[in-house]
Amino acid sequence: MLVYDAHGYLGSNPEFAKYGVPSPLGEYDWLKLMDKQGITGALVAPPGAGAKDDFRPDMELIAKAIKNHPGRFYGYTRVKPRKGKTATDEIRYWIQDRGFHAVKMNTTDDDYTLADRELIDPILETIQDLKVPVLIHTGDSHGETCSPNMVADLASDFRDVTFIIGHMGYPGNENELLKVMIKSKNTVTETASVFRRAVIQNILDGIGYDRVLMGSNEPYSPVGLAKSLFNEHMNSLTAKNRIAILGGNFMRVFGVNK
Amino acid sequence: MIYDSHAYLGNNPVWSDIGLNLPFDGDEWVKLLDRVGIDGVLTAPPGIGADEDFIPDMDIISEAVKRYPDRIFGFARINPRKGDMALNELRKRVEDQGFKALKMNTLDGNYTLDDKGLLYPVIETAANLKIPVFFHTGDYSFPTCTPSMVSSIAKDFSQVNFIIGHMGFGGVNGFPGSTEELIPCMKSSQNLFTETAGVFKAEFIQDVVDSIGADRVLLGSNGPYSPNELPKIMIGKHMNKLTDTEKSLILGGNFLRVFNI
Repeated sequence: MLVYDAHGYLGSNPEFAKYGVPSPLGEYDWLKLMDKQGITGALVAPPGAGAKDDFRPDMELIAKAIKNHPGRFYGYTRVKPRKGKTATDEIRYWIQDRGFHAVKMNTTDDDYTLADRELIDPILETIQDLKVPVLIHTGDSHGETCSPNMVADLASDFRDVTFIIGHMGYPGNENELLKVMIKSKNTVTETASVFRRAVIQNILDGIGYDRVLMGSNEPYSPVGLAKSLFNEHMNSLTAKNRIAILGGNFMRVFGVNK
Repeated sequence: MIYDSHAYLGNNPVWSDIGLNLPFDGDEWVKLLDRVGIDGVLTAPPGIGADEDFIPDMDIISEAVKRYPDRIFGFARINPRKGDMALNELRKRVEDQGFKALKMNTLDGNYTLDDKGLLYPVIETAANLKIPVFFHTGDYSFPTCTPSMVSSIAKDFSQVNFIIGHMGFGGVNGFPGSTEELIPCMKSSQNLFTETAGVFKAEFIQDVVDSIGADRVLLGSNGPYSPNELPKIMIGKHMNKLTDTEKSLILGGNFLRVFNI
């Protein structure tokens, strides 16, 4: 079975050392991890700790990983919308010139909210133009700046873009997710750090199995746990459902051919 | 030896939605424990049973404890607003049925942990019964149940062991929760313990161990809401800075000592 992780991190964060993870967590560290856990490929973003350098050093590491190990690494470029044209130029550069596959947005990167359309729309226009998906962190301590409902508003204005609702809006906004995904057909969600089975099953029962991607939040939470959750601990899933969630949906959303 | 210090047994319709048999009883638990390599589990009735004062599910736990005395252990769960009825139920479960500890969640009776007038008769009873008391902390109800509130109670009952449930944690990055309180509280009182149910953030657990040591941290899973195998894998295989001794304490050694197994 092909297994893809839709939400991991590659690069430097001094906090990694606290629990014995190397910093930077590089391509060879990731490969060891993936091979050990039976993960085919991972879509990785630079960690938030790199915001002060506009994430560039870590995106260089990701670019190398993509080049050296095609089919194993996929890259998120991470953006600070307040940089204006610099931000949109950077997105184009990493996607068109360095082979990245999607954009990641976290409102804490540049202290903004998803409701600030004047700030966000130029970014989304660029994303739409480049025909790549965008992962938006939702829920959590700053959930009031990045809720699934806010993503729905963006999705309704940019219908050609696939929006990935990060972390299922959990915790804090997961109750919004089902209605949002029913209404906004150009949304998918991913499960990074969501280990509460009923939260995940609720979405699967409501919208089906083809718009949920496995995400891990590795190394903040171990990638092996996310895979194990779906493989062994979601007892209502059929084999076909598992194949979709663990990798089939990823391949479709990110255009991976095997 | 591996013991899970925070799980649930009984009836919750949500569990059948995730493919589990109901009631999720002692037989179901032992099958699961054998499959995932866990020696024993301390189980509470699920919160959904509050309207019936958790009695039907505590009866199922009692049967499980009788049937599997070395594998299944019981939390009594009470609503302190029920006064003497609750205290009598607690005594019965511990003295007559061998339950090992008391579990309290402020949502069960819509109270806060700083309501000492309400809580202290319960804690006095627990002290007389010589059992630990577990308080849910963090999560959505965190303003009613913080580690600081538990710490304040712990100072007034130094002979009782208190368990700060979920490490004051919540969700992906600790929100909603009160994680920043946990370490100072645990440093201030040696009769405070904590457990890891719902905490999948390795750096946070490591911070706690680095600050207060491993001998007051218990493995907890929140099973079957979350798979009870995952915390064992997390601590055992993904916390690279823990020594073998520390892992052994967290995975089961502390449980044996705290619950007097």
